[in-house]
Amino acid sequence: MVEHKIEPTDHDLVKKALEDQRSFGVLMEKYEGPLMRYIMRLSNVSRQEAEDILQDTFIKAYYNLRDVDPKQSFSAWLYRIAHNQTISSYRKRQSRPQGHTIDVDDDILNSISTDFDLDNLVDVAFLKESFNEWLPQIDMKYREVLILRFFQEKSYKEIAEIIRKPEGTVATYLNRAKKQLRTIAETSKQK
Amino acid sequence: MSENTVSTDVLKKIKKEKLAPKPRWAFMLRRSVLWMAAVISVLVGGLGASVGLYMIRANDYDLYKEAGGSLFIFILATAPYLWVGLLILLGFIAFYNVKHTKGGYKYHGTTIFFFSITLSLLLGIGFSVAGVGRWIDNQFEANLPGYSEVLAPRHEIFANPEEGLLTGKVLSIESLQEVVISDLEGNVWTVYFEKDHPVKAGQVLRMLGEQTGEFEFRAKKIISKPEGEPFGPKKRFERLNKNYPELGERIKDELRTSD
Repeated sequence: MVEHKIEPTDHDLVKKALEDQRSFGVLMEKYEGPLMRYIMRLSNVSRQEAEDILQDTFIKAYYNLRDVDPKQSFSAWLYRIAHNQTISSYRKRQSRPQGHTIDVDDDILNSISTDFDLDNLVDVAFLKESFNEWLPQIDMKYREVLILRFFQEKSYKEIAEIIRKPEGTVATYLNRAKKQLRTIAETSKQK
Repeated sequence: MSENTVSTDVLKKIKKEKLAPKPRWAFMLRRSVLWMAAVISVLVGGLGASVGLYMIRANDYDLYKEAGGSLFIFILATAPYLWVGLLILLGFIAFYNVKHTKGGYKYHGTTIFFFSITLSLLLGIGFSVAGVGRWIDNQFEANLPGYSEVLAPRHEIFANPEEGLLTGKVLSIESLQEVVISDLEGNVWTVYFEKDHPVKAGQVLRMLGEQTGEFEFRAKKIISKPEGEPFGPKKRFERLNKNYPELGERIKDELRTSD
């Protein structure tokens, strides 16, 4: 008979982390990659700076571990801290954007292209080539919702928890991101 | 570079610096403070609304309308700006506090703002009926310098004898048809009533009629405010007693007799 080991949930790990720091290490390892990509996409900073933001995020999360609500998603709570740290860092560094690029998955681009009605405007190859250049041109608050929805695959409810806005506002922001991206794509195509 | 460099570094830092999560009570305290502050904002907003409502009720628009005054000017001159401003400010404070609670983000800012204003207004109606608004207004008028002139200038609109409007505090009673009053500037007026009208010393009167001479007025319609009704800052009457000591004595005698 094969025994299936049940994976501990985030909330189980949070509970354990209050007693044993190694459990917090497990949580950090789980979220390090996705958060790193989220920070870099959102703020356009260098890898080194993104690592600094992530480090601050984890330290802050550890300090506030007892604030985690078992009824809410731990992931959204952690992304919320990363969001705050990134925005705060972005405001300080806004005058000197790094222009750092990260690879964009084809599936994600296809999804954006379809959902944002870009498929009748530009082809995926052009989108792939230009996306990293277009993304920073979208307003920060709309860009963030776009990233959370398509790159981090968060639900509307989770996005609402992360950016602390009602779900209706999330939908509005996503719609505005779509409009801005279409305008940027149209302008880019004309050039 | 290892994918989990940051995690390793953070874990090392936690161990090295002996970092520990903040205690649960710190978060509970923060949440309680936010909710308490929101509740207090709504309550204080309710008190402010009750004063505002009292001032609107006690403004005697009917008398002003009879004198041919316009509603627009009346509203501009008598609106309880201080209390409306306070209500809006406290609405924002309540909004800020609720927004920063755990689930506060789920509601639109305008919803929270208008909900808190509505709640304050409802409370204000209750307080106003209970006489709280009048009491606060009296206390402020008596003790807060500048309140009467700047923050609640509602008496001034009735201080217009050329237009047939006069307001004043009864200093002495000569007969049922003749009284001596002081206006807001401390001028002493002799007022003749068209009909018998019993008043008490210290009472505030608002009158519609006509000016018949320098500091003489014939009143056709009189509204007597209840005793203790606020009427301009105390300093005016202190000045009056200084300028007219005999009247000051007379008003004291009258008040003693009416007791």
